[in-house]
Amino acid sequence: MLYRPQARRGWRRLPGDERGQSFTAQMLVILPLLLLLFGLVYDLGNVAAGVSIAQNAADLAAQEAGKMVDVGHYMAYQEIRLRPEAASVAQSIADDLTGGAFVVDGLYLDGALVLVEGRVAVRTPFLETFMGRRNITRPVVGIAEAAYGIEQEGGGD
Amino acid sequence: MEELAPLLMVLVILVLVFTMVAFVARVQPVKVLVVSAARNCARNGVETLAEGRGMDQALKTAVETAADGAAIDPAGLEVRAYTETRWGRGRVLTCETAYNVSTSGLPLLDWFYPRDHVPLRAKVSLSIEPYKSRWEK
Repeated sequence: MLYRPQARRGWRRLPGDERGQSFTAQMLVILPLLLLLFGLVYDLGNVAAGVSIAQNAADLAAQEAGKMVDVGHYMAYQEIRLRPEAASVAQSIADDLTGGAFVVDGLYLDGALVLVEGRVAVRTPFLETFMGRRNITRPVVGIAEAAYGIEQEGGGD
Repeated sequence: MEELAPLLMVLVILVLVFTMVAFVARVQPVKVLVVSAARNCARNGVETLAEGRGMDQALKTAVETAADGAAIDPAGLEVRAYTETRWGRGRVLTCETAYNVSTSGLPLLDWFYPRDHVPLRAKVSLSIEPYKSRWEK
């Protein structure tokens, strides 16, 4: 005996144009959600990478600023102090590595340690589109030891 | 055929989203490694007052840094270390690193990157240690 499937009672088959509308409605919900998901992956990944690069920049900026010891002041008072241009040197190192995304807010000395404090602003194009948030800002601190030693050549006699 | 169109549309969108996620996952780790390689190159290069040794340890460190991460093939990493003037205290050593991330195998990316790769570059300039004793005769 041949089996013939029949339409189940109570079920209504949608006409073709209504099925199309239903699909469009679903896509209108799903597509932004998919884009939002991708946007989160992209933007947060970008922020993580940006913070990592800014950390590199902060460490290098601290190391480079640490080479700007004010030798005259040290000789007179036995106290480590950085020359005034140390801050601009730190900022220029940060600019080289981050293209201006990392801003040095402060340069401090703690004993012989040089601390560079700043913040990195990573652009978030997807979050801006969905939530109006243009960038995510994270604080970054770099630490290095002030450079010291002898600047004269050894050897000879 | 009429019912196949929505399926195809969904598939194309899914492939696009997958491509974008895979692209980001491929490029981001390499970006960090290229910058780290340049940083370590400069950082190790400036630690000595001997020019030959400085250049040698700069280049070696860059390649070793890149080799630490699985995302980079060290053979494809370009490293350049140079000083504008003679090597010496306070002179500036610049390290440049470059790497092309392959995008082959990722569908639809040819539209944006027709050369099948994304070029990544990093540059770090540091001054050679100003206060350091030279022990060799």
